[in-house]
Amino acid sequence: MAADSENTWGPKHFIQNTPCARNSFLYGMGGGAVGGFAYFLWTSNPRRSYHALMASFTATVLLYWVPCRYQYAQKRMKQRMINQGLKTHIVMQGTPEAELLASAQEAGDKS
Amino acid sequence: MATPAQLGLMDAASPVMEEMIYFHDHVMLVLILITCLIFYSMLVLISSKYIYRFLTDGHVIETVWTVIPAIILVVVALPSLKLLYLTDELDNPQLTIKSVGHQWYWSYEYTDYYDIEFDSYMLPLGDLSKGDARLLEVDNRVVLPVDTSVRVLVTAADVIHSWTVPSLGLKMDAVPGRLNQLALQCSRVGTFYGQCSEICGANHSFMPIVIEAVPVEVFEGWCDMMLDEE
Repeated sequence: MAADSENTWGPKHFIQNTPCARNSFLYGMGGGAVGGFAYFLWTSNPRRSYHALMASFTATVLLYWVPCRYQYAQKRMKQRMINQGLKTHIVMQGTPEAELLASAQEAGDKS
Repeated sequence: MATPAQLGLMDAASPVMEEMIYFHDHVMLVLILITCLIFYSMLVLISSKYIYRFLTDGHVIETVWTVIPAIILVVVALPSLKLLYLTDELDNPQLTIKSVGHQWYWSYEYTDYYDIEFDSYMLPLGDLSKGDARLLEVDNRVVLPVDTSVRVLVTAADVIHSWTVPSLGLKMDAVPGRLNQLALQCSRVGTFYGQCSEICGANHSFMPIVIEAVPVEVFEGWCDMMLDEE
């Protein structure tokens, strides 16, 4: 009996296999380092600079993750619609309903 | 089916389960960020040299640690509610089957076009073939056409059971005297396993569910075979 999936779980698996995760953490680490260093240059306060580093890291991760996942969800929906449209086209090819659909689509495109 | 000691979710076999996995990824990232924040806070507090015995309140920090969790909850709740309503959507089902829980087996009825009814008992250890999964195989599987919207009506004949198939993201209580509705769509061919998920007596762990998603032609052939047997 073949298993459905490999027995992998953990941070490495999450970052490697989850869409947008790797880039989110990379940008987060970079943004955190930049934010923390900039704050240190501005205030020369190491303690608060670490706070700024953490805040920048969190904000950068979220600011990349949310739009990336939203765009990924939109692409997923479009892909499903395309797949469904192709299946419907294949099933109805050669039938009177297909001609009706094609003429309705042409009328829609013209308007 | 799950591999031994598997911790992660099973691969999705339905669009709803795919969305559940994506939601799980989203919540997992939020949890990782919260965990990082907590570890950082612990580190800062442990390494701090400052002590103020007369500290009683801090209005700004209290506001911050009230507003930020509220925002986090909204960020988690919005996709969660979207998914919750998605699981309830039923898109013009082409087939309806009934699943009835008994002590301790499931019975299925396909009564849309013909009257096909059968019981599904777990295969005992002695009847398993080489490669079969222990405690998961049944004598009669639920055969369904792939890429077809199916409505499953779940109920029970005696005590409460629960009809579950993790790969398809399905779980519904089978309550005696009540019909619960599930929307099911297998997006790929395969065999998907589940187990009863509500304690129902001595053999609660021994009444599995097996769904076999097949092409439509195979499903038609199976229906003919079941009708011939009856």
